[in-house]
Amino acid sequence: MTTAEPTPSLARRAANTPARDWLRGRISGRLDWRSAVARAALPEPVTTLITRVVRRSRLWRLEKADLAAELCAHFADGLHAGNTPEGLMQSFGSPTHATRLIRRAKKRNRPRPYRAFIHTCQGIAAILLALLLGYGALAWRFFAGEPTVARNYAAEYNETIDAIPEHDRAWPIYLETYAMLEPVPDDLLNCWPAPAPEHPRYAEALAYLERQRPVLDLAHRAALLPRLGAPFTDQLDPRIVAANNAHHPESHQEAEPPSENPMMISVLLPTLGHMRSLARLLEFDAHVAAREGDGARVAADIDTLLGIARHAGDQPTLISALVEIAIDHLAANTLAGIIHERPDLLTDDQLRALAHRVASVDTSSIAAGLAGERWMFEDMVQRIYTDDGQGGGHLTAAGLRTMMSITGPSDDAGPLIAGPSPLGPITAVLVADRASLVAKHHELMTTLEARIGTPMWEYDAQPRVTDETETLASDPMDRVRYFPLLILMPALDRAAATGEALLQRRDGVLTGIALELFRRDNGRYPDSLAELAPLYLPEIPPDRFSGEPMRFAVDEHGPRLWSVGADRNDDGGRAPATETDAITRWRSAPDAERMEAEDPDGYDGDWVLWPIVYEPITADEDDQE
Amino acid sequence: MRIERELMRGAGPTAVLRLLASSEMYGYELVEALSRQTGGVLAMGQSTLYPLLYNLEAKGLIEATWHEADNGRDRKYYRLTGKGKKRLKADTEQWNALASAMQAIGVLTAIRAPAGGTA
Repeated sequence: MTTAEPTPSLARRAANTPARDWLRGRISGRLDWRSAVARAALPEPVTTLITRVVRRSRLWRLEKADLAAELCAHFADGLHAGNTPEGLMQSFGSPTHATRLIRRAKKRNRPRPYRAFIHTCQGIAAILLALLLGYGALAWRFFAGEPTVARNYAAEYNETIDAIPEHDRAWPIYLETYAMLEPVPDDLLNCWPAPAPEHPRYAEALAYLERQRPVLDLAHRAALLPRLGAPFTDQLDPRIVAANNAHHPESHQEAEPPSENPMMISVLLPTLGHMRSLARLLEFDAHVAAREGDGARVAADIDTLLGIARHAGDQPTLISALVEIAIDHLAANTLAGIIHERPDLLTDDQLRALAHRVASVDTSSIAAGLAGERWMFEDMVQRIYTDDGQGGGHLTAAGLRTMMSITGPSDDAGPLIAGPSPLGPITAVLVADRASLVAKHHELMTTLEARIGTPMWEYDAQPRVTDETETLASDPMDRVRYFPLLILMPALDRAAATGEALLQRRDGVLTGIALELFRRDNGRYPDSLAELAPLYLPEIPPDRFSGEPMRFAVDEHGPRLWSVGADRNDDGGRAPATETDAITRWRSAPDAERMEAEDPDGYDGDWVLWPIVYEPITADEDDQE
Repeated sequence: MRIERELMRGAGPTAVLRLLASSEMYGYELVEALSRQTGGVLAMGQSTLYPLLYNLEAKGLIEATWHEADNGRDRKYYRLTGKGKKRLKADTEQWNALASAMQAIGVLTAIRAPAGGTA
C-alpha cells in the first residue's frame, strides 16, 4: 500500500478547480485527478494502472477526474472484498484496450452541442479533404497536360506555294523592290503621297519619285505575274532584314531561322506594308503623269495598283484581304480623281481597258482570309488543348501560357482568366473542351461566311457574329466557357461589309467611266442610268445599301452619282458635313438611326460615288503657320 | 464457458440493464453480480464493463450519481432510466423470442439456470 498523499496546496487546488465550482465559491481541486488517485492509497501497481489508463484516455480534465475516481473506487471495492491487486488487475483486462474503449464511450457522453460541433468540423474537414483531392486531380490534369501540335498549317500552305512555278511568283521581285525602295524622306511625310504642284516640297517629291523609278519598273513587272508566292514564316526573309538594316542602321536586326512549325498567329506579313508603300508611290506617280498628260503612264500605274492589290490578298489571312481592299480603293479613287480632273486625258481604249480591270475587282480574298482565320484558330487550339485523338481535349497550363504570350492577359473572360494561376485548374474545368470550342468557332465562322457575297441591304435580316459573341460575353458562364474563342476571334463582321463597300466603290467608278464614255459618244450625259446599259455597262449596278438603283443627277457641274449610304436616307447627293468615310461603313438600321440623330454632321448624308474630287495637299500645316 | 465476442456484444448490455432493473449498483458490484448470477458465463472484465456502462449512459438508458456508501467511500451508482426500462422490456421480448426459436429448432434443449444464478 502506498502512503496517503498530503492534501494539495491551495494554489494547486485553485488551479484544478473547474469554473462551475469557482462560481459556487468552492476551491474544490476536482480536476486534480493525480492527487485523487494518490489519496486513494491503493497499491503501487494498481495506482500505476489507473494513472496509465486515465492519462492515456486523453479526455477532458473533468472526465479524467471522474474516471479516476470511479476506477479508484472500483479497485478499493475489489481489495475490500478480499481480492489481490494482481487478481484485480488481471480481471480488469488490457489497459490499452480499456483506454481505447473508455475514451470512445466517454466522448459519446459529451454535450450534444459539442458533439454537433465536432461532427460539423469533421464534415467540413471531410469536404475540404474531398475538395483538396479533387483540386489535386484537376491540378494534375491542368498542369501536367501537354498540348499535341499535330498539324503544321504553315508547312501545308507553303507546299502550295512550292507548287507555283518560279516564273509565276512575284514575291522575288517584290523582295528586290523592298531592298531598293528608299524610305519617304522625312520632309515629305506630312504631304506624302499627295503633294500638290504648289506645295513647297513638290520638287523634292518629284526628285524622290524619279529616284524610285527603277522600283516602279520592277513593280510594274511584278504586278503582271499571276501569284505572289510568299511563304508563311515567323521570321523575316534575310533580304528584308538586310534592307531594313540598310535603311535603318540605328535599329539593327539579325536574321533568324524560321521555326519549323510556326504559330499561324505569329506568321509575319512584311509584304503588306511594303505593298502599301508601293501603292502610295504609284498613286503619286499616276497624278504626276496625269499632270504631264501621260495617259499611258496613268493607265499603267492604275493597272499595277490593281495587280499589287491582288497580290496583297494572295496570302489567306484576313489582314491580307483588307490590305487588298484598301489598295483597290486607292486605285479606284486615283482613277476617278484623274478622270474628273482631266476628263480627256485617257483614250477611249484606255478607259475601256481600265474599266475591265476595275470590273475584275472582287472580294474573294475575304473568303480566303476567313479560311486562314480558321487555320489560325485551329492552330492555336492545338497549342493550348490536349488531344485525345477524337477531336477532344482539355485546356492546359502550358497552352494557356502560350496563348497569353501572344494575346496578353485578357479581362474579357473575367478575373478567373489571368493566365495560369492557382485558379487555372478550376478554370480549365469551366472552359469548353476542345471539341465544343472548335464546334462553336465553326458555327460562328459559318454564320460569318454566309455574309460573304450577301449585299448589304440584306444584312439587317441576317444574324451577326458580333451579336452572338456579345451574347456569349454577356453571360458569365459562357464568358468563361468560351474565353479562348472570345480572345482569339476578332470582330469579323466588318470584313464582309468592308468588301461590300469596295464593290460599291467599284460599281461607282465603273458607272462613272461609263458616263464619261457616254458623254464622249453623245456630247451629253444620259438623262438616266438606264441609258448606259447595255452598251456602256452590262447592267446598272444597284446601291448596295438599299438594293435600289444608285441615285443619279446631272447639273451644271456635270453628273452626280451617289448611294444613300449607311443612313439609308436619300439626301439628294449631299455628302455629310464632316469629311469622314463614316457614311460608307455599314451599320445596323437602329445603330445608323441613332448615330445620325446623335451626330448629323458626321452621319447624315449620302455617299457620293461620282465625281471623286482629288484634293492634293498644297501646304503642310507647319508651313501655313 | 467463454462466450463469443459477438454474442457477448448483444447479451452484455441486456444483462446489465436487467441487473440494474432491480436496484442501483456500482461498478464492482455489477462485475460481481454478472459473474455470480451467470455462473461466470457473462463475466466481463472491467475494461469491457466500464465502456459498456458509459455507452448505455450516452444512450440515456442508465444514469449515474456519486454518493457516499455505508463504508464512507464515494461510489458511482448506476440506475435504469425510463428509457432504459423500455429498452430492457423490448430486449427481453426479443431474447425470449430468440430462445423459443432456438428451442424450436433444437439448438436449446432445455433452459436451466447457470450455477449460482437464477433462470
